[in-house]
Amino acid sequence: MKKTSLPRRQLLRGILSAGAAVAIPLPLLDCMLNGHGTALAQGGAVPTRYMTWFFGNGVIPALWVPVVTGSAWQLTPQLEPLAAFKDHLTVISGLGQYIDPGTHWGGAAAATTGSMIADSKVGAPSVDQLIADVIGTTTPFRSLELGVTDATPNEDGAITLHAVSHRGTDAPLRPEFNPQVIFNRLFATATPNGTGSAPSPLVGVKKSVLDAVLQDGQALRTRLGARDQQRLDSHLDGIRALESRLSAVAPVSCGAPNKPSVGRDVNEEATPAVNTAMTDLAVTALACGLTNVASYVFSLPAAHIYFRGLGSDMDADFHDTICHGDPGENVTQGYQTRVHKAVLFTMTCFAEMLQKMQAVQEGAGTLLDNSLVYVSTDVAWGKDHATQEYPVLFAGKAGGRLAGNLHVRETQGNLSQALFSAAHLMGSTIATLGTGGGLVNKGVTGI
Amino acid sequence: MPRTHLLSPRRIPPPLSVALFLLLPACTGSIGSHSSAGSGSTSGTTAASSGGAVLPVPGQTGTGSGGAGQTSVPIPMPQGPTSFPPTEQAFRRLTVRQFATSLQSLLGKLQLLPIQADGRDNGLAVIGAATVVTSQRGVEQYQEAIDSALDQVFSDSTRRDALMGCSPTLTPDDACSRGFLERFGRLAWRRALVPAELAQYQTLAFSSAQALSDPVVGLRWASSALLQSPYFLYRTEIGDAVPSQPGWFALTGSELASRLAYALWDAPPDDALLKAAEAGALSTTDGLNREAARLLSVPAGRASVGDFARDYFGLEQISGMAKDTTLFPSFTPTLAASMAEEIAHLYEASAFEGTGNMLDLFTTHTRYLNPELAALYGVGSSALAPDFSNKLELSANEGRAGLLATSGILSLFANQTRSSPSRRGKFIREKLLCQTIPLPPPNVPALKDPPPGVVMTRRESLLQHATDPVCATCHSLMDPLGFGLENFDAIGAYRNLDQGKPIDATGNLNGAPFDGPEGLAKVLVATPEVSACLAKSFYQYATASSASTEAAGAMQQLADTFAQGGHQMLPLITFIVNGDGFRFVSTPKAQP
Repeated sequence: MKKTSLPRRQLLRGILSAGAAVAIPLPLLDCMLNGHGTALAQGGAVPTRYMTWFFGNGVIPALWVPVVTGSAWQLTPQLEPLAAFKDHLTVISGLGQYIDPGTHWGGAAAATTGSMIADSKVGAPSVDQLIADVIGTTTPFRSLELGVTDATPNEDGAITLHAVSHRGTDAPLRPEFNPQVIFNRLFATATPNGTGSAPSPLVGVKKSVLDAVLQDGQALRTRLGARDQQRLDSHLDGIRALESRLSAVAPVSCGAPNKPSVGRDVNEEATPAVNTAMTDLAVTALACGLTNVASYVFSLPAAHIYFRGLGSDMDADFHDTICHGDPGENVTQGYQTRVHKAVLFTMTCFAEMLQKMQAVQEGAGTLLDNSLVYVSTDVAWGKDHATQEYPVLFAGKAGGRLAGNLHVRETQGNLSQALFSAAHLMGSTIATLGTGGGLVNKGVTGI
Repeated sequence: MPRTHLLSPRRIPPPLSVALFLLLPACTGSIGSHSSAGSGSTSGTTAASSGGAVLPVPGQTGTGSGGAGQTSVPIPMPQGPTSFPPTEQAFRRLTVRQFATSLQSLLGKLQLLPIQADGRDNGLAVIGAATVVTSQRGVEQYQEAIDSALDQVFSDSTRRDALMGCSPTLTPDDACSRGFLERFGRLAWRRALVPAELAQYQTLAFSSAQALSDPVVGLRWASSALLQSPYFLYRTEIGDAVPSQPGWFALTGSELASRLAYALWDAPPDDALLKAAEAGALSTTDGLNREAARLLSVPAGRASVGDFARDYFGLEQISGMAKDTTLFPSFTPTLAASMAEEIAHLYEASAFEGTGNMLDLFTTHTRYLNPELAALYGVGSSALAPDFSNKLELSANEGRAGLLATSGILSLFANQTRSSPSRRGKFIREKLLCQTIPLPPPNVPALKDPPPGVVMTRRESLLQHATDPVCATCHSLMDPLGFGLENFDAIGAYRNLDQGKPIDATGNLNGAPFDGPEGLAKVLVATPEVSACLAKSFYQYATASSASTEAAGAMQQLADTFAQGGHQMLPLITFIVNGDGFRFVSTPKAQP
């Protein structure tokens, strides 16, 4: 193992303990790991990271689902862009969703929370937030929600079309779509203290401002009912998170990316440039311990996206015109070639994420080895809002808990089983997941 | 979010008629002598005040006594069965719009950074405000928006000095600092700070001033804390127990002042309203009516109706519509924002100008338009004023009748490339008739592809809905209404042809036939449910509560009163404000 000299200050802050200075935007440098690269030198396990990678409008299941189950599975046309990561893929098929309405709203709720109640509201936290309860408590950011394009219909503000992460009912975590805003959150504003210099007096003032707010909150809290106390507590947790980040140290050695030159996608196109910028930010945040949980929205449920970059024939509203409108019922008699094109592009963009996660060495393994990336979408097949045969992937090896290179198939399985499996792989002990048609008490068989 | 429509001196409502209030059995007092609608109205501390700070000058502040629920005024008596039942106790976050009006009423005009979006319940952000949960990112965004707003004021010495009103010194007991925190805090928190709170903020200001060696900067950071405090970002409707009526609570003076101001102005109480609350004036029907009449008599009072339309239709969502940029290059963010403004103006003009018959909003051809919208509608000329002060007549030939022919509604309920008779029909059923359309079933099949070489109009392709019984159940309620608007494309521009074929804009509402938007508007106005739905939805907005089932009788009474009075908004508003449902709250029902 290569000897690396690190200032004592950075090393101490790299212990990832739940001590006072929890903000440790440092990479897992080799010198912090034990000789096997499986654990921190101080004895704690290398943290497992989690990501939901979501895209809208589904796939063409006949071109997605592998034929053979088990480790002898073969790539299918729509999984071909992920060929380089076949060893890190677990393909799960045979899952459907049973939440009303069985369209984009309900499907989006099913694929992320397993629960929906009236008014397009979810009735339970999304799986990334269940996981953040377990692995997101000691990082500067409990979780990070990013997105590549905000294109979606408004549908009277139906919240499951605008957010795939939720801490619960009425608590959506909408993705941030501007890479520059994410960059500023992660790297530009969390650096009030220069390394080694005395704390700026402004930091103390900002802390006392937040203390005053907390004091008001505690006084107000006593006058509220239980539900409103929880709402206020959520707000005050946010104040405490701001306060703890005031003590954060600049991510000096973490390879913080340069400020992205690209801003938010304004043409509903999910351009490769925005995807690249967001992917870099997400990978850096996970690699540097800024957060252990990310939710990456490549495109929103029912995304009215325009894949203009894919050719002159693609200049059309993907949800309306292409998914729902293009002819093509099945593979043998002709399928929706424009939908296929867009799914291939989407998976190519996902491959960029996997490639960058694999490029981060963490001891003997990689960030991808130490992560679980759950991939799904809001409808199985967009054209008829199909509720059966959802495309579901687990990428990464979840810190050794997944073997990878596997296709498992459930018989009439419930999409919530994948969420249940993901939560348990990340250390959650929940006994059931979801409500109503999404309620399950077991994970995917064989995982 | 500048409230430009409030700033124009042209926008003056007619004087409130005393007769309006005689409709109200409980209202027996005099109206009081509010200034009669002149542009010289003295309500200079409303949210509408432009530029500069609007804090009262030093020496005019209240006593500083009181605080949250601390006033010792008599608890009012419920009026009984003819009134609305009380709404539930609530802890409400300011809506995005209220956050903007509240900050600007304190600090003057601002460029505001984005904050977390509203939650919606029963279709209204003001109701969702009682359940929405602020995320950690949301808290960050509040901090960013507030600090940016304060930087805008404190970096400008004129604005800063006007806000502070005096020159603070670096001493622990600085009178200027104390006076500022007392005044600013009272307006920010919509109640006076109690002594312990004031002391806490004085300490914060002084310690910050010491650390940064500048008493002005100390006040800037204390202001940041006052505005990041939940006492600014949220408001309570908790009240004091009513001994004679177990489970009922009378809103405190400051809670009621906030409820009244946000309902009628969508903005915080001004100094005068807080003074009235502190004096106990809101605990009597007379006093409450006097303040309601004052709030409605100034230009800001038009927001009671205009901001209802913004919230009820979710007009801010127009800007989020991703219209096809190739087909609709004119659909820019500014046009989208103008579309929302137009509808708010239409509602305000219908309520406060002309006959005051609110149903005129469905049939009128008169609009206040800016040049961008005038161009979309093909009216006006290059001589138009750059704002919404241009009063123009739209073409009846093109069917530009009222709300349904506004580009905002037509855009909001359409797809990216095409019109959507289904979504427009659903909008009419749900938002104008207060009916419910069931959710679509699972595995909704796509409309069948037309045979090769056949081009179908939107109407022709949707006729499949009528022939498939699975679709027809719901779509027969929606599509025949939306067909009446087929002359308008996905952004509400007029067209004669669809796919090269002449438009067929015939349809029916529950069997009553019509042809085109003018006919649809006439059929709607003749449908009693439209008037009842308007009254009910306005009640829900003004009280920020969904009308519970036990309120069904009261809703009927409300609808009848509204219809019999010629669909006038001002009596409706006063009727609501006078009801028990406005002044009392009850313990919330058990959560599911």
